[in-house]
Amino acid sequence: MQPGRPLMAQEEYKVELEVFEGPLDLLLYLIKKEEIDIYNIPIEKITTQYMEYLTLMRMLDLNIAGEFIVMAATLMMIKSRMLLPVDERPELEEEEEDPRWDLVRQLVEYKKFKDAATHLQERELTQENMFNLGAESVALDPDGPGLVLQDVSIFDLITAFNTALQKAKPEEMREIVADSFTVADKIDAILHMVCDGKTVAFTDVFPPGAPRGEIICTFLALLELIRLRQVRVRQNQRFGEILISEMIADAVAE
Amino acid sequence: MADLKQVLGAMIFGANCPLSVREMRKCLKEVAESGGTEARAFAKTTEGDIRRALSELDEDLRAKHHGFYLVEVSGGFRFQTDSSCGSWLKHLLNIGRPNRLSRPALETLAIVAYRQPVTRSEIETVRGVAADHVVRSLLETQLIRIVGRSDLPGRPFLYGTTHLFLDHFGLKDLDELRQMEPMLLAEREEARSRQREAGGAPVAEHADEEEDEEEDEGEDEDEHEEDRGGEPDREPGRPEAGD
Repeated sequence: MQPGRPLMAQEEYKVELEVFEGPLDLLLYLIKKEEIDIYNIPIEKITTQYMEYLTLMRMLDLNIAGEFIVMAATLMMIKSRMLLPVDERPELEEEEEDPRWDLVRQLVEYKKFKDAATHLQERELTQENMFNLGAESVALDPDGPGLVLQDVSIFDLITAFNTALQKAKPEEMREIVADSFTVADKIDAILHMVCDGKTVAFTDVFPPGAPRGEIICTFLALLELIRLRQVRVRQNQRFGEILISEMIADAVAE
Repeated sequence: MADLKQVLGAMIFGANCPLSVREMRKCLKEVAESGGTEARAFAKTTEGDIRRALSELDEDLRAKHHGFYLVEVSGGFRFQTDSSCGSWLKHLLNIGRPNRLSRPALETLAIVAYRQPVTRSEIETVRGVAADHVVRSLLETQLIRIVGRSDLPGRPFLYGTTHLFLDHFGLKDLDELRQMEPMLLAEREEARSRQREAGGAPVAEHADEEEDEEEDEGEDEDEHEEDRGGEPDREPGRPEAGD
């Protein structure tokens, strides 16, 4: 894979997508996806995967937090510390015997709050079905530069994108692909696929044998449509196929 | 002559906002003083009487499947529709697509809810990422509010949850919230005692008026009182909830 740099020319439609998730979110996502024991993280494996996602996000030119880079450095450092034979490790306080310890502690704590957030979310859904006299309702801000995702996370989308990218038509090293497609075109194409209440699988959104540029373009169009709340995405199984459909005004709880 | 259950039901219906037991009792007393024989029957009604009547009222409603029932939320009692009838109401009230909170917002809320009062920096430490945007937007929705300033350098703001937060999630009070996550509760007490030892406990400047009132109310029922038994000393001015 090429070192991360934006491959897309975005003159016509400037896509600005801010990702609110941070490096801990990504790590917890990977831990869950790879079914890793949080108390015994294979640091080499997780660092490699983390870097892969980081590269993808930069390739897509997503607005990500600087902390992602900081975490990358932290992971590298932990990895190198773990490669040192035990007696050669620098003198540390007792708690830091295992170089992963600080990170694990942070992850475990964050995970507790994530679980709490899930319980709050469940309550929110229950409350939606109840109405009462004189209730004040919360005016949530529907607009903004960020991707507001609920059940499907940005990392799920990136994982699916990566899979699609692997199937791209291999480019020859010096081939310059003519931009015969724009993000705007792809936005149209996707909307067409989901109009009239149709649901389409993520993988079906990408034309078979499409070049990398087209795949990236299509994916950015999808993210933009999610941001604009024109489509919704869901997964029927954790880490399963992502399904895309229209966002309808009267949509009752999914 | 109207019975207590009837009067209370009417009051809750007419109030158009949650009514606390204290408010109901106050109303009964005041009307008893100025009203006729009927009203005087309720002059000595206690909070316990009220709660019993409300409980009966709720049972009646539920047993008869009237489509709504009584519920206690932060701030008091109100009627609420059966969740099984949600789709009709949504359609009737023309509720568009439900506006739900994003995961980062929910996580930030969880941190504020369980760690309050908390600074933005503490939130960021947990989430590992900047919290500026999320905190601002949560403030705008009034699910959280500024409850004071920390003594730490820079005197950063301290945040806590509001009544609206409890309402939005259908919680009666912060105790109910804490019971949802016993692990977090244990941690919080640990963190608090560590802070106290270090002498750097964040002190909120603005005491919550409501909270003072609650402290004075030492009448019949103690159920509403938070932090009686179980919790170590309350920090001055720490908010429970409320605007």
